[in-house]
Amino acid sequence: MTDNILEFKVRSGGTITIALDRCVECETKACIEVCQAQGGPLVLDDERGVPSLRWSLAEIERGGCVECLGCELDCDLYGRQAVTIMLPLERFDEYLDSLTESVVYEHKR
Amino acid sequence: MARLLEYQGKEIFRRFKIPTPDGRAVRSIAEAQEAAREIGYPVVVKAQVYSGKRGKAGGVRVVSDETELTAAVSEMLPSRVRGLPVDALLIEQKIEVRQEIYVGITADPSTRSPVVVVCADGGVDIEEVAQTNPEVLLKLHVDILRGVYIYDALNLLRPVPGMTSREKLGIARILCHLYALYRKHDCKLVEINPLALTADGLIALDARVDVDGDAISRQTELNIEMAEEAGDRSATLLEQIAGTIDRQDHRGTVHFVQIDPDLSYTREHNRIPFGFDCVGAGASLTMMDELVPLGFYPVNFCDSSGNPVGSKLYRITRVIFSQPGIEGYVFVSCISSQQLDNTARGIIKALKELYPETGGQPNIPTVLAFRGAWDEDAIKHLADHGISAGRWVRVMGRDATEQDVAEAFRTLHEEWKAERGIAA
Repeated sequence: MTDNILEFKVRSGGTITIALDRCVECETKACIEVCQAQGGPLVLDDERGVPSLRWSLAEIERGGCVECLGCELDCDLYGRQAVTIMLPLERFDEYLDSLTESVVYEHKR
Repeated sequence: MARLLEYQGKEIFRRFKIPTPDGRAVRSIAEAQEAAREIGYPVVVKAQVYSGKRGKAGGVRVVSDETELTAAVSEMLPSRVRGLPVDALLIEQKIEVRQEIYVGITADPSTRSPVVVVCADGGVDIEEVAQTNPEVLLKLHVDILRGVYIYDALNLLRPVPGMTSREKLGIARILCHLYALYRKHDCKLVEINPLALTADGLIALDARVDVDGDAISRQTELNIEMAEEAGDRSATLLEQIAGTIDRQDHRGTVHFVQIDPDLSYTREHNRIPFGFDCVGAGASLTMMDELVPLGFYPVNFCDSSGNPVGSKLYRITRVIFSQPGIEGYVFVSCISSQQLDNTARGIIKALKELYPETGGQPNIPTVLAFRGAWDEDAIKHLADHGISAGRWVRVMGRDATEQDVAEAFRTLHEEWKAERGIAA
C-alpha cells in the first residue's frame, strides 16, 4: 500500500487494488456508494477526496468486504476505471493447459 | 458430504477408543501378502468402495492361506463392486462373532438434533428394517448442548433382551465414544454395522463416517480433498478446482459436479451440451426436466445458493465456461431470497473478462433468469454493462417459468445454430 495505491485482501483469497491517483479526479466516487450500500469497508477520505478503509486490513480480510464486486464494476461504468479485483482460482491454469479442445470463449465469434 | 472409506473410518475409530480388528489397507498382491503374514491367517479381504452390502456383491472374502489370498486379491484388484471401482483392499483379522448389533448416529431433521440408533438384531438391510419393523430400532435424541452420557446410553439399551449388564456397559461406552467422534469431526452419519459381540468383547467390524461437506475446511486432519460426490469416479481436476472456491469462505456455496466431463454421453446420444448454473438444487432439477426433453444436456450440475458472495459467482462462472464443447449457458435462480444483484455482478465480471472484445457479450446462447430478491437490480446491472444487448443473450425476470426459460434457450440456440450453418 502506498499513497497512490489502496490495496487490501479479501476473505475468499483475492486482492482489491484501487489506483488512488485516478480517484482524485473522479466525480462520482461510485465505488464508495456501492460499498456503503453493502455495508462494506470503503469510505471517503475527506481530506484527499479518495476512498479509504474504515476497518483494519485484518478485519476486512476476515470478511469485512462482502466481495460484491460492485466497486470494480461501478468504477468501470461510472468512475475512472481505478479498481482492479484479482480473484485467483487455484490450479486453473494447469486445467486450461491440460485441455485438448479449446474453450468456447476462445472460439471466433 | 464427504464419505470416508472403511479403513479410513477405522483409523478414526481407533483414535476414539473404539476397538477394531487388526487390519491394513493394501493396493497390490505383495502388500496384501505382507499384511496377511503380519496379521496371521485366516484373514478377511474387503473391497474399499463407497457402498454398503459389499458382502452380497462379492466384495468381502475370507481366505485361509496365501494361495487363496493371492487368488482373491488378483480377482478383486482392480474390479468393480456394485458398479464402483476397487482401488484398495482392507486385509483384516478374522473375528469369530457371537452376535451382531447395529449402532449409528445421524442428524434427525425433524427434531433438528443428533439421534443415536441401536438395533440389537444386527444391521443387515437396516434401511428396510427401519421401514418394515421400526419398533426394533432403539432411538435416543440428543440435546446437542448436553451430549450423551454413559447412563443415557445404558437407559437406551435397557429393553434389549439376552444381553448381560457388562455387555450393555461395553456398548454404552462405544456409543459415547462414537458420539464424541460424530461431534469432533462434524459428521452427518457415523455407523458401526456390525458391532460384533465376541468372546473377547466388542469390536467394530465395519466403519462408516460421513463428514458434513461444509465442514471440510476445518477437518484438515482428515485430508479430504473433495466434499462433492462424483459417483463412481474420482473428482476431475475442474471439480477439485471448483471445490476450492468454498474452502475458506463460508458465505454461500457453489456445488459443482461434471455430469459428462468428456462429453462422451452427450455425443453418443446426440445431445446438445450446455453449461448450467442454478440457485437452488430444486430449480436445477425442474430446469433439467424442461431442457433434457428438448435435446439439451447439462454437462455440469451447479448449485450457487445460500447467498454466495459475488466473487464465488465470478469464479464458478469461469469454471463453467471453461468446459470445452458447450453450446450454451443457462443460469436460473429459484424464487430466491439471496441477493441476486451480487450474483449478477459475479457473472458480469466473469463475462467481461472472458469476452473483453465484446464487453462481456458471450458467443454462445446464454439465458439468465433472475427470480427473487434484488432480481430487478440484477437485470439492470446486466443491461447497464451492455451484456443484455448481446446477440446471444436473453435475460429474464421473476415472471419467467422454467418452461419459458427452456423455450427461450431453444429458440436462441436454433438461431445461433442457423447463423453458424450447423446442421440440426
